[in-house]
Amino acid sequence: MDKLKILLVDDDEDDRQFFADALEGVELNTELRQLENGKSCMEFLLSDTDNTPDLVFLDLNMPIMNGFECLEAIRRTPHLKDLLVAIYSTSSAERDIEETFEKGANIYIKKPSSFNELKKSLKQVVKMNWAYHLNDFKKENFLLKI
Amino acid sequence: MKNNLADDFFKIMIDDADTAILYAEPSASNAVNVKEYRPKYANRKGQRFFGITLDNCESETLDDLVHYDEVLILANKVLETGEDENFNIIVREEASILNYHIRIRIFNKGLLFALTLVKPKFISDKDSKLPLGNLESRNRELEISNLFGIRVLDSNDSIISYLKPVFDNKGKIEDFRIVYINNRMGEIANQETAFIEGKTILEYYPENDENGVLEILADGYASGENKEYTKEFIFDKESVWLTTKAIKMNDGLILFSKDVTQEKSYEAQLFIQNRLLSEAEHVANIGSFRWNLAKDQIKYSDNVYRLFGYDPNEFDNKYDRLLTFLHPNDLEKVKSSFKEARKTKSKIDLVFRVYTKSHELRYMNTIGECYQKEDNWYMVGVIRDVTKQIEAESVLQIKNTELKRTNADLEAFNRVASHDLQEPLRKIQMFVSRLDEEEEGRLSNRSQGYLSKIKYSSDRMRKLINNLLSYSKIDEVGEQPKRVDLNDVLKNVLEDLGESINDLNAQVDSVSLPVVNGIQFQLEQLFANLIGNSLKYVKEGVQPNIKILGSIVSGEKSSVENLLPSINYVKLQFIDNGIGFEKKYEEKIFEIFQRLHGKTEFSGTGLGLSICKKIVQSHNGTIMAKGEKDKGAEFTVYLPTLL
Repeated sequence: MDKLKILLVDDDEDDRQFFADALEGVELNTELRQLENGKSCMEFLLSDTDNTPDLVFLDLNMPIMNGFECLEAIRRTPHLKDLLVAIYSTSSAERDIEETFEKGANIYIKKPSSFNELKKSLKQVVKMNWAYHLNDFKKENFLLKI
Repeated sequence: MKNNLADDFFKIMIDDADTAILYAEPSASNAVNVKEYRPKYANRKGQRFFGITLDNCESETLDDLVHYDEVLILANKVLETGEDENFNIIVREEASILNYHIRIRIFNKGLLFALTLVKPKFISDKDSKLPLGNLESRNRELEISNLFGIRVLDSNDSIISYLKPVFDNKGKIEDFRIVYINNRMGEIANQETAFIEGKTILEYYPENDENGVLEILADGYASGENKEYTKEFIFDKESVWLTTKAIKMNDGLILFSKDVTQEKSYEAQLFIQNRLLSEAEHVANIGSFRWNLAKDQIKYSDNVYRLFGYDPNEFDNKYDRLLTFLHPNDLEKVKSSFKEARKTKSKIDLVFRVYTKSHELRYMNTIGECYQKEDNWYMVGVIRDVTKQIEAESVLQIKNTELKRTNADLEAFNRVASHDLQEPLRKIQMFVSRLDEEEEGRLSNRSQGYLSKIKYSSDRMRKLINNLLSYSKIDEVGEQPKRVDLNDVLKNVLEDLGESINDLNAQVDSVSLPVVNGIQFQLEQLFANLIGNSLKYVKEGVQPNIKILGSIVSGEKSSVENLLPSINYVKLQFIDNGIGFEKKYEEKIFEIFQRLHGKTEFSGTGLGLSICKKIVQSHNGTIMAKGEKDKGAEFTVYLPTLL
């Protein structure tokens, strides 16, 4: 089985470290790439089409190009319009959640305040039967507020 | 002889009489249908009047003497009926106009015509049935024109009268005699002209002394000046207003009086209406104006002057004068607006600043509309003092700006609280949880204790931030109020609190609750905070008991402050048997960050009840606390029922 290719876009170094550590504890068969903002994310996705990830975790509040803009750019790109995107943000504002789903996000995860919680969330997302869920695309199925 | 003497005496007497007498007999030849009378006799005066002599009189016919058929008709009538006929004629003799009274009566075999000179006077139409006399054509013309004059006088709307002064023995005017009056007076006073004529004005209407009419007329007569006056007279209990013009003519006064009763009543109504308008303007702080655009004259109501700090009519009514009141910065604006309105006859609605008489700056609003009347253009409108409104508006604007700034601050705080504050806190918690996990069992007891303290403190901080956020978000109406069943609300909250209810072995009793119009998650927070408090502030050694009651009350019948009398309220009561609080804290308990208990005794952020109050208020309700130390607390919430 191929490794699950995961891309994390977050400007916060600590958060990236938590994420990497948590992912490691969940599933070994993953390959994680980390980028710092929306701009570098788009540059990567547009140039290295051979390494298009299976799943993108996108922070919202980032410099240069924020998560919303990046999400829009992803959905505007033909070969990326079906890419699985999970929003990974501190914000629990209903407004932000609504907006990201309107713009085409698949999952919303609120950054948790405990490492254990994070591990649980990631496990849930990574192990999700995506093929099955994509046929039944509803916001509440993919809204993981932790 | 005796007879002859008597004849002579009689002859002399009638010849000396002032009366012209003519005796005529119907001609025998035409006795059936009499058309001719032959004079048989005339006294001296009669001979002179008709221009005949006793010798030749029988050769003339009455026809030749009078020229009018009507005389014969009247004569025939007398002959037929035997009744006398009386009428007047006017004749001119040399320079005088004379009025003769004529009487026809049966005498012997014929008719006797007697003409008596009456005092010179105007005669009325009905008295002169026909002219009579051997008159020259110019005399008749005069007579006709005179009759015509009478008709003119009678057909005139005015009362026309001719008065002559009556002097006392010192030569002072003490009264006026009514020599002539036309028939209009008769119509107004419902009296015969003959009843009035000949009387003095004081005989006819005694109040003429008291009301000053006599004095005015006497003055007019003495000075020769024309006089005009308007007085009220009472005729037959009816009030009649007459405007009279008195003009001296010869040795009397000619009076033209016009009945202005109607106008007077309009005037009275107008007066009342003007007074009402003036009062209304005064009360409303409004003045009105009417501007003759062609003449540059503005008629102001009294209140306009008052608005500018002046007494009525104190300043000139010219447009330019108005401009002098204006604040220099508003001058051009007002001028161009009025210029435009005058040109295009359009409506104006302007606010401008003026300086009043006492140099006070006031804001005025004027609204005016143009209209045309009899080829003239007018602008009518109102001016009102809007200083208070403008000031209130500017205060409101300042408040609005402040509010906007406060809102912006609050938003900034929200952002800071939701992200910038939570972010480092979350990391602290993350690191603590990792430290706890990785170093489990390896830390000294003391270090483990420190770690627990960090965990506890950061947890509290998180709660605090979340509470602050929800407090500031209550007014941020994201959703519209909906029908909310409070039974569902209670059920959800009891589920969430289930664990601690079980832990405390608490007894929760509730009745069936009503439905309200509201925002479900906020109402859930309200219930959760109130019930949560009851579970938090329990009395040691006593099984916690919480009662939740609900009923509908009318705002009118309830004695609770702030409730609207016109609507019904849902009354919710949350009663517990916990530690309660002192009565003096009943108000204070809802204040933000107010804590009645030490942090160590009871956890909490000091925001729970503040949030409750804000939620209730944003639902247009009221919340109250009632407490007694160690006897439990009771919270009562009033929420408007569904409309």
